[in-house]
Amino acid sequence: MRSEKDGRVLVAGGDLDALARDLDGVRRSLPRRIDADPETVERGLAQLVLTLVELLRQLMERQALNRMEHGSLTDDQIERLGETFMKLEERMNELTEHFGLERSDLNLNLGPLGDLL
Amino acid sequence: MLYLYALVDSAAALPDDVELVSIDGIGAVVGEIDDVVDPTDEQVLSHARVVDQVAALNDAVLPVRFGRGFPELHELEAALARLAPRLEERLRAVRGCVELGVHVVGTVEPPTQSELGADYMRRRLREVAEAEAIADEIHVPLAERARESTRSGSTGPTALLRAAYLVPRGDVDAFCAAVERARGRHPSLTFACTGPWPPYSFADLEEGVR
Amino acid sequence: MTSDLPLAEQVTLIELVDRVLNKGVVIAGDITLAVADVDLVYLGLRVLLTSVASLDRVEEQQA
Repeated sequence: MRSEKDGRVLVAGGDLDALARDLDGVRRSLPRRIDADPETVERGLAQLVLTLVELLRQLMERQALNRMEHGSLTDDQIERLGETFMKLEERMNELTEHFGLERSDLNLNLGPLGDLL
Repeated sequence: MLYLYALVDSAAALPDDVELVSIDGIGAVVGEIDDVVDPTDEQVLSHARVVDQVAALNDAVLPVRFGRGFPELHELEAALARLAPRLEERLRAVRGCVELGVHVVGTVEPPTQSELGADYMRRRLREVAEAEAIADEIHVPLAERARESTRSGSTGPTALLRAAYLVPRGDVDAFCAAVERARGRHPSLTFACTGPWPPYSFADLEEGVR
Repeated sequence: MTSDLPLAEQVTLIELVDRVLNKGVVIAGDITLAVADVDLVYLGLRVLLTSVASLDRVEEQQA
């Protein structure tokens, strides 16, 4: 009988480091008991908060792109939205770095609701 | 308290250390538990081990999520009686099948020069459209080889596709060959196909989730 | 989970843990026997996102 930890990778190829980084984000976003260690708690809370911010950023950007695609934004609005999202992107990079996190840590498993993004 | 591992037919074969509670043709694989559990790796692996063992002994298994329980037997029995039709439907749907996971990751090139807001929006629109097209191109042929499939929304050029496929046991090799072919069509992307798993992703009882 | 495991085992573990913790049947009427502090956040988010989805549908119908 195979043990539950036996490798279950059936097919793999390409830059496996990129996969590991993406999966690392999943692993660190999984529901866990929060450690009592204050540093870990702070980082865990920062990760939660930033995950929410990232979620909102993605939602808003997706909404804006939809509107742009349907032609319901003026050129001026497109320009300003683009600048805002670029600044947000920069800010997210700064914030995650500040808390010793990677962008891939801000992965929230949404299950079927993930289709909204 | 009763800790729930999996749902099966009422005439199911069991591994050691668990019991079967049967109502209306549905069986619940349960263990005794004194206290809440921490979702540590050890506990999670232990849960997975039991589900694996049940799946090895039965051709229709609905894995239960970690940490679900019932304080009293009659509450479990009432829940099973209430849900029996839907559970029967799911057991039928997964019978003889395993779950295979497919994960495709790309790389994102950061813009080489600073761009105007409008350029950023146009680039993002292009990236999103391309990512969706690639995800569809990979997913649709694989979904055709599966009884059911679920798929997470494409979140961009990195997490291109995360999907699960319900595949009859005998078709696993052919499915993997199809994944290899998809990999051949997209040499710049990273692919992983994992499994076989008990059908965790196809056990959801909520309507319209699939 | 340690990252000095071979990559295949890391992938297997993460895929497994993701399934056990995030997938699988949840029977209405059961109780949570696992302690995970982020459960409330996840629950709140599902409510938020469901409302966003409903808003989207309304907008689509009005468009």
